[in-house]
Amino acid sequence: LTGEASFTNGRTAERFIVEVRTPDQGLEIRDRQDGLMLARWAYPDIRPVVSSAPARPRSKRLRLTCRTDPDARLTLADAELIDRLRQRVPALAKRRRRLPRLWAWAAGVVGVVLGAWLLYEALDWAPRPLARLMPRSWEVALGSGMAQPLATSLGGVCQTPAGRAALDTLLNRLTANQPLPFPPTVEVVKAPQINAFALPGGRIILLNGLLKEAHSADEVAFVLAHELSHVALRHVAEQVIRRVGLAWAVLAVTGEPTGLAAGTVAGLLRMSYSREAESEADAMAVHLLQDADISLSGMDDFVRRMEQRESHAGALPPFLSDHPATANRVPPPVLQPFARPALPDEAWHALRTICD
Amino acid sequence: MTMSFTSPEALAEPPVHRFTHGGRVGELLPIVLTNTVLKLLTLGIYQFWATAIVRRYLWGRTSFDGDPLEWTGTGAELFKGLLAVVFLILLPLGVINGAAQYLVHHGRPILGGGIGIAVTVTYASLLPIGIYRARRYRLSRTNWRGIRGTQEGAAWKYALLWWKWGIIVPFSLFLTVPLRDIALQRYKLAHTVFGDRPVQCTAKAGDLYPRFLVCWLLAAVAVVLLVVVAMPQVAGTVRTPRHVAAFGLLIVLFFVGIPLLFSAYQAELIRQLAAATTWSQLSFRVSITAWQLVRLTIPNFFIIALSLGLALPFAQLRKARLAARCVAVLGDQDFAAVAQNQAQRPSIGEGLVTIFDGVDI
Repeated sequence: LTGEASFTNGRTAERFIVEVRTPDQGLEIRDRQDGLMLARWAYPDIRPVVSSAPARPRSKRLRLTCRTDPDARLTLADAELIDRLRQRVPALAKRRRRLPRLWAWAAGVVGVVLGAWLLYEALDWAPRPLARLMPRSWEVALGSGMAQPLATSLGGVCQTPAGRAALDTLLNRLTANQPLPFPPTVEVVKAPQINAFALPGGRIILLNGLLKEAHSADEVAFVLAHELSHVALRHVAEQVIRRVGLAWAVLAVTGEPTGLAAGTVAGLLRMSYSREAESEADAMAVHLLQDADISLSGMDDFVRRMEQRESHAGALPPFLSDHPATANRVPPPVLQPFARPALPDEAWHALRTICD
Repeated sequence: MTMSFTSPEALAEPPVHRFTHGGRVGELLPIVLTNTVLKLLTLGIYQFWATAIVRRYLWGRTSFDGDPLEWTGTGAELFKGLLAVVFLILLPLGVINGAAQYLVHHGRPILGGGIGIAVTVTYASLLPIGIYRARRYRLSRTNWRGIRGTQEGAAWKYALLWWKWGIIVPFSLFLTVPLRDIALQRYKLAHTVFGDRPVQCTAKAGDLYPRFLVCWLLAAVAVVLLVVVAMPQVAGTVRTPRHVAAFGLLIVLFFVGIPLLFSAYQAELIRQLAAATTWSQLSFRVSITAWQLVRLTIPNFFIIALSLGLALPFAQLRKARLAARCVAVLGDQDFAAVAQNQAQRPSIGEGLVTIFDGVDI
């Protein structure tokens, strides 16, 4: 029994039209014109050439190669011959049983959900222990590289001797006897937004808009305590690790070269993570304020006023905003018989006018 | 007396052969979906095997003279390639860079700075070197009728060329772009070998200049206009609504118009490179137009970006289809005379370039 096929021997690009025989000793490939033996392949050595797509019904082809002759290719189109080979060649006999279509799809969907969930969870818990492992000197180096350009781009650092002194007084009061991973620094930047943030290495930046908005030094003390808590809890390093990890994960899963849309997803996920950190920082800020004998009413007032402001401006839903809903931020009622104002009046005035 | 006639064969047009591409979205879709699931389950490690599977499909559906191309690379090779880059190149470079920083801060600023600059130059050279080596890997894993190719030449020489033109081009106000393009592409093409036959390329930058200069002049006018309109904006002196509108319009025109404009140059570059390229007895024509190039690249950009890169294989499919439509191979070749390529095949994949699978090499 013979069948027709085409053959390339892997030594030249010549394409031979061949006859294929299947005696017991092995597959015989002979030139159809002169009957010359071109190759003899032992059945156990024959391998199918893997294809990613199913063979189309119309062109039922089988491509074979041989372990001892890996560059050679035999292409068969004869259905009868293919069937005969399937019985003889061990590598072709194993027909994979395919999953029923519905089950394959269900497994796929479960797989996607499970994979996404695993990734989300890993990015949720892994950065925290990793942040503890990160050498402090790395974080300090990272922060010192970021602080200067950021302050300049926002409008520059404000500096008056009296304002500086007031800031240091407040900082010392809040950090006295508190274990912090780095000696913190605070700076006021001339920007109109009501905001403050902690950079790596314990560098805290207050925006001037926040000082103007605050009604008392107690309110500023709360904001400072909140940022100091981020530093103490090493949230900053955690966030840096999470961002880098997220960027890598999105890049690895999608393999997208532009990174454009991936960045948006990363941004949304990042925010939902950080709300937990904000709640933690609020809780610790309460302790810092209490230890420093600063009234929690400053925190209460500030948080409530921000809520009003947000409801006027049409605030974002909590999922999109990177701070917890204001109702969750009101401090617990605590009796503070020894509370003193965060700063004397003249010092508070000096701090408020540090940028003027 | 003898008369010489030109033989009819010589007068006739050389025979034209074409590539065909039979890939279908319907066939690619299950492959891509399966790959996506496995990528998620393996936190992305499957990426490399997914890439190999997609290439096997795209290559297998591309045929020439009745026989398909075959991708013989594996995911494991690509994975090892990435590991090699990270552990043998990126990490050591990072360590050396750390040491340089230490020296700068501990009284040896010149030595430390010198090392730092060397490390930075090495980092920047990784792209051209990676591109060149990726070409070698891909050619060595591309079979047609059992025959494969290779990329000769040296990746570091290509990187030197890349640096040379990277410095010259901005200083020449981008007027040397055709010279750069031809120099880089010719180095790649003239060192490409398929079977035992090298590719020859004789493209000249001079032929590109007429079209390039038109593009360059229009772009220069756009830049000047933008500066004239933008200056008062930046200085903050004029802020009428009309001015702002004009400014916005110009920005849009700039970022949409300039790439569109230069697609005309790009198409001409591809056509001329192809027309000046021969392999053994065969020569090439690529009939691509600027508009075809735009219709390929802009939808592809959105396909990739909006799917977070997951639909990249479909963008590659579109590219392969267009390539098969545009490329014509002229002449007749006795393929029995083309012998197997004997070059050492790289044992590992293309390193970082795999991640950026869309990068054109």
